[in-house]
Amino acid sequence: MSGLLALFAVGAISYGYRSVFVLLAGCKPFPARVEQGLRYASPAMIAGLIGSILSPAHGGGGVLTVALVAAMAVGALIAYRVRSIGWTMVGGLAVYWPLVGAGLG
Amino acid sequence: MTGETTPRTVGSMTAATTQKAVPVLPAQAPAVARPSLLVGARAGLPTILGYSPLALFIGATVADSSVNSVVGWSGSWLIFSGTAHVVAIRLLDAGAALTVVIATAALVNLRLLVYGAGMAAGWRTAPRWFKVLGAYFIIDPSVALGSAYAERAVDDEDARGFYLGAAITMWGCWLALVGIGVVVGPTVAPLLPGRVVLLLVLVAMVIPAIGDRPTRTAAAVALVVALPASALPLSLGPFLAGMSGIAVAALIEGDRETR
Repeated sequence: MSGLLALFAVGAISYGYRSVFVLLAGCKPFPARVEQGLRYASPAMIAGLIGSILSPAHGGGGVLTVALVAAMAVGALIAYRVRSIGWTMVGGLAVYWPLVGAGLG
Repeated sequence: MTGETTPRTVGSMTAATTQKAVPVLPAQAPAVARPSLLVGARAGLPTILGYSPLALFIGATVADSSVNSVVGWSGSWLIFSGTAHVVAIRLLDAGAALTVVIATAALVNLRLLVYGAGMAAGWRTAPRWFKVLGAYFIIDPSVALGSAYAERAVDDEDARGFYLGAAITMWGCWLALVGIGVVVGPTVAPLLPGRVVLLLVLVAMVIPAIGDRPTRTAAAVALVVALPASALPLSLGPFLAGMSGIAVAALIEGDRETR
């Protein structure tokens, strides 16, 4: 029960984040500088997430292995050329698994 | 019929399009273009399938935790955000206090506030029902797909139809995929290294989005700032890193325009 309550609360807060500007402030234009900054929101936030996962400060999970770096490099190349999440996953994992199998994981 | 070419902003992107000079009454204005719903659905399907390893991983995390499977799966539609969902499940499984679970997952999702602000700019003229529904679907891939399409959309109805079609498709598939992950979780979990899967998904989303110098700067600054900022408590690092990237890129772009 407490688990459901927690998930419901997180969901409600998340909807608040999503909707506050859309429902309340959406009728008025934002200042030009703010609108300009919002153009960069998606790449900046996602890059921030990537950095935090790669970080050595990230709860001990930030160890960079050969397999991880290779998978990321191949994934980035595929994402750049093909612009497909599916192929990026397939290509990255196709490099990752053999290298882990070879003891480089 | 008179028309004028004006900049149109949808989903934080600006595009030039032809709009009627005469205001259109809400009752006459179509909320979304129905053919665009299908176009969006066709674009959303492969995108969300790319997320299937992450969805299966989250389902496997639910199955592997002490949280009731149905309750754990419910996070996929209650939260509809993979990262915050998996963080909440892991904390619940570890026996963290309810306030800690809620606060941490809420902080992880802070970026949605920025996404919402970005989408709000393009939805000013949208009907209220669309705003209420569309806001629920705001998440990394729906924003990325919707913003990219808005740049080449015929008009606002086209852009909104595409967004809704893509978002509903991705939402439905996401719920199904997490559910499958709960059922087959123990079997597939060893095949899906969570950290690598998540990184590849994020890389696949960010690379196509960094087309010009300011967006490249925003991403680079955020990436670099996130490395030390991740030591901050309550998962504040990624949010602060993202905001740093946005601020620096906006400053650079502002300076370039004033020169």
